[in-house]
Amino acid sequence: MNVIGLVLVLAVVCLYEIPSLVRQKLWRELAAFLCVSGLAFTLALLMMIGVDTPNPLTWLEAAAKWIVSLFG
Amino acid sequence: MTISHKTTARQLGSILLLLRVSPMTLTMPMMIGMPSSQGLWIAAIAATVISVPLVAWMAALCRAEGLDDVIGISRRLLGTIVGSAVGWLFVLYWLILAAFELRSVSEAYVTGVMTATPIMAFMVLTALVSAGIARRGIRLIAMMCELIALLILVSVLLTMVMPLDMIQLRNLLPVLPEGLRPLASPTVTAVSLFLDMVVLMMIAPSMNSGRGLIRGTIWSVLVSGAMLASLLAAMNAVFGPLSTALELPAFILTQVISIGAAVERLEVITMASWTFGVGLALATILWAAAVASARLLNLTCYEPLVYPLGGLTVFLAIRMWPDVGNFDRSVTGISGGLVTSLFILAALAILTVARWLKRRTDGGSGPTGGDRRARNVAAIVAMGLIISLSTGCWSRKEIETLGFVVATGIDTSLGATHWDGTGSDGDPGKLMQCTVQVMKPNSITSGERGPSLERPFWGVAVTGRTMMECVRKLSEVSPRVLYWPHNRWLVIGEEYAKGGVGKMLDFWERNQETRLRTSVGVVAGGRAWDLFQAEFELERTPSEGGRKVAINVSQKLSTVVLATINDFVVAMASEGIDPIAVRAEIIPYTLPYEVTGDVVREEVKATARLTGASVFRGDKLVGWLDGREARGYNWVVGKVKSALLVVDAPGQSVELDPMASLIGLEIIRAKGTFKPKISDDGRDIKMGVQISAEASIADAQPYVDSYTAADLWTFLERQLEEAIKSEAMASIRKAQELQADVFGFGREVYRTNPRVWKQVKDQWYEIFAGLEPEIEVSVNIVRSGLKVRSVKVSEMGGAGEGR
Repeated sequence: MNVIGLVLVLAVVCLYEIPSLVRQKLWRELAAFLCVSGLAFTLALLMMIGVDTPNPLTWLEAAAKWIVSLFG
Repeated sequence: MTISHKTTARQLGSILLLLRVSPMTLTMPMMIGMPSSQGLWIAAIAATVISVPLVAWMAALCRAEGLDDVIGISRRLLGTIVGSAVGWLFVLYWLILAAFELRSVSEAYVTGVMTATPIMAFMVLTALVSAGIARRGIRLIAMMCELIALLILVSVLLTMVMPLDMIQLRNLLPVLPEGLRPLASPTVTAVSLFLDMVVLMMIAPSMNSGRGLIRGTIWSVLVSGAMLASLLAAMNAVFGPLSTALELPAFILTQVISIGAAVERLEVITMASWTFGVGLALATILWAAAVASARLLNLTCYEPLVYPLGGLTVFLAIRMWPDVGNFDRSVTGISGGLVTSLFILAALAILTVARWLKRRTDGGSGPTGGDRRARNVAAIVAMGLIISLSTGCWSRKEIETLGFVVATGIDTSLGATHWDGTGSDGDPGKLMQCTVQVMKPNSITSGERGPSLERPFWGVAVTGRTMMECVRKLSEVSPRVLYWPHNRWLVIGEEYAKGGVGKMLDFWERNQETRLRTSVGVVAGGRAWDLFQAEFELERTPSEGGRKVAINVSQKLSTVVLATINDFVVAMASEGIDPIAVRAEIIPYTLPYEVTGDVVREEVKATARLTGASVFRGDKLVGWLDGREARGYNWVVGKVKSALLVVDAPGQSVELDPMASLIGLEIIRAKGTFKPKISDDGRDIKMGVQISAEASIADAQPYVDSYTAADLWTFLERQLEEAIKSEAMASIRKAQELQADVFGFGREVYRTNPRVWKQVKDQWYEIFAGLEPEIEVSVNIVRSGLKVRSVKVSEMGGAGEGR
């Protein structure tokens, strides 16, 4: 169910963005769009099917611990 | 509205102000986990003072670099590779910030209002709408922010001002109970939130002038700092020690607003701030992330990146925080906030140093304006979208499906009631009985046939182990979904109250539908169930009748002590004060005559009287104040609104007729305060109570002449002073006998002399019991009604005894 919704949203956004980019021959922009959408889609999909995805909060917390340890 | 091509100072200020809205009106991270809340407003001011130069630094750097954005500046000053790395870090930071905003607004909706809705629905909708706005550029965001910021300013102001009757400024004392040290963490948290304004370094290229950039920035820091400090003060003044335990303090603050007992449910105000303010803040951050990444990738336009980044934001918002506890912790103290603020400050410092090193060789390049003309239509469409988001409700509640609970009673269990279905397993001693009165909507409406003859309410009782279990079990017998915001009364049976009420009160603070303004009462010598059989002849529902009786008696006699759940819990949670609540008693009542004619009504078995107060120690009922003692309490704490005291008339008039010797004095206004008098060594504590009142002569049995007899006034004043003093003394003596400090004498010691309090608090009840009150009363009799002197009964000579 959620996966269907995800694909639907992706499809709508693609239909909204891609045609005008192709028409204007903005290939770099198109590539950037596809990369970021692909990243978001993959991460969301992995999370939905239960694969452990990276969590920036753990990076932040690790960094915080490191900074605190610097000050003793 | 005219569309200027450039962003004005006011628009920039509005954008940055809205960035501060979510941490203020939602989680209020400064308050979470703090030991005390009194000094937090000082931390807010300190954070503002610290933040002004920091944020001005950002603006000044952009201005000095010819209004370039942070990506351009760092690439030029640090070289393409290092500069791009810094730029990507900024993009990551904005993504995390966007995820935070998204999660916080969705979490607020799910926690506070629509608990049944999946949080995903809010996230996706909010992200879509915000991305839609972001895609249209900073011009549209700027214009919308300018409109919305005013609305939010007004709504936050209303939030602070409207709970006026619940604000107790003395809750702000002592200002710094644990010294300055505990303020460090909230100050750091607040500063880190102010640093979110770094997004101004992306907006700079669209500014109309460098001066506007600086002005808008400083304006927003000062205004949001003032808002933050006053909001913190208001929350603390209303909720006292409770405020650091609340999940959505501003929301709960709007929940307690009640204007003339009619206008309620004003939390809509806060919800508007959430939707508009946080939605636009999210749009700003998404826009910044998209523009920054487009610049880093050397793209000609950023628009295609907005929706994909929005999707990434939704992912992060779900992935980063498994639960709310996690979420709350990540914004406070030594955590994510620290890292991001250090990152921003480090980036600023590096850029400034690089600029200083490079200044000789390089001049700044001109601003790059990538603006598009935004259309009003787009603004209106986007606004419409946001509004539709706030009204289209998933877990909506239609009025026809609701049963309005108007009063709730709590008793110890007598075993399962005949309503009970599913057996409550477990120790019968741990069971409680919960009685509710639900309005019958069909029988309130008075159509053409006149008011219905049915009883307009339905009483039902269930037993359960916890409050919420009882509430849920009611759904086994109630065809309508019970709806709690209109619950006026929480009535507790004497037996249950003696066993402690703290365990049951948690539900009332935690639940979304219950209100902290609900009145608390205890049934003297009876059960709540029995009280709920009582009715008031003049009102159709006992709950409404009880509410009006409470108002009446407090305004005419002051012989009852009124308390809301908030008052009760604050007293329970504060050091040096014990809770007090209404005392209700059941009066068996039968009509002495046959009811005939049109009045067909189920027999009224009993009615109720509200008088006196129930005295708690901790959360357990320990005794009662009678009506006179309750008024004594009201004198001491300054809650007497009006009263009638009967005193003896001057001697000479009494001699004339001993059977007509009384004068009734009506209190027009009164004040009462108390202040501890502590000897220098802190050992000897006395309590100085000062009461002042104005009164007028309300009725006089003997002949009195207020025009000629000047000493009459002073005589009556002395009499009244004595009467008030004895009532106040009686209440203090009673509380001392019960060893329950309902006045908050201990709290006053704590507020005025926190150090002395630390020494005495362990033996406070003993000290309290031996405390010698010094009561000073001053009374002014200012009026004598519509008469200057009494009318003499004319005496004619002749037969009879004569005098």
